[in-house]
Amino acid sequence: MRYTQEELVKKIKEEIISLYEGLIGAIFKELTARAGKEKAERLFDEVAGEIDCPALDRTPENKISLQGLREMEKDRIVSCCNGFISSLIVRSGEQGRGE
Amino acid sequence: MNKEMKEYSEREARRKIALEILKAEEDLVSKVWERLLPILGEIILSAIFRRILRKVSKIYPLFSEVTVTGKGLDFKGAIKDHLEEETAKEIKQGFSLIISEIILFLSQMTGNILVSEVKEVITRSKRLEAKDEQRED
Repeated sequence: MRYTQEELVKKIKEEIISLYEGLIGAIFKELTARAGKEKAERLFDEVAGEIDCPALDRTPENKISLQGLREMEKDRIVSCCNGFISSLIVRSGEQGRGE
Repeated sequence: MNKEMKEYSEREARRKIALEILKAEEDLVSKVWERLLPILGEIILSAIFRRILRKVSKIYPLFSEVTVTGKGLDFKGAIKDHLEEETAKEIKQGFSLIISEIILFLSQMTGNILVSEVKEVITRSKRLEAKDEQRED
């Protein structure tokens, strides 16, 4: 199979979104296990609200949906998600408080 | 060949995809390192990352050549040399484990620190209560 430039760019974006869906899903699962679902959801909502990335939403099944990122450029997707995840990681240290 | 007309073989496409994923992950780890550095300091942070890498390398040997530097993780020549052989999937899984381990370590570490601080406060207040009771007697 051969890919045109356009097809390759599209494929790269899909793979990157898949990467972040996996990462963010795993983080949510970890935080839920440590701090409970309510605290994990609250933390996610707080951090998503703080960063400049309106495309991060939670679905009714409480999974993070990154579908809104598909319209963005690849570099913006990376910057947005890495900002979100790094903030989550630092804030998640606070979830160990008093557990 | 006109850039717009260029086509990529399956192998070339796989390599490019894996490279882009690696770049995104490198950027993430750098951001995490920058955020944690002022909190934990370079020595502790390096020790944490080295420990995590040892654990991840046992499951994903690809990560055994990654090193810890003063700026985070160094992937030069390690994973990049193997992009044609290794799949993007293994790189993703390895990084996912690195991130999970960082979170686990942080929550255990801060939990332990804060639990011991709380214990100290409880012990001190009990001593004060005991002194007050003695005075009343």
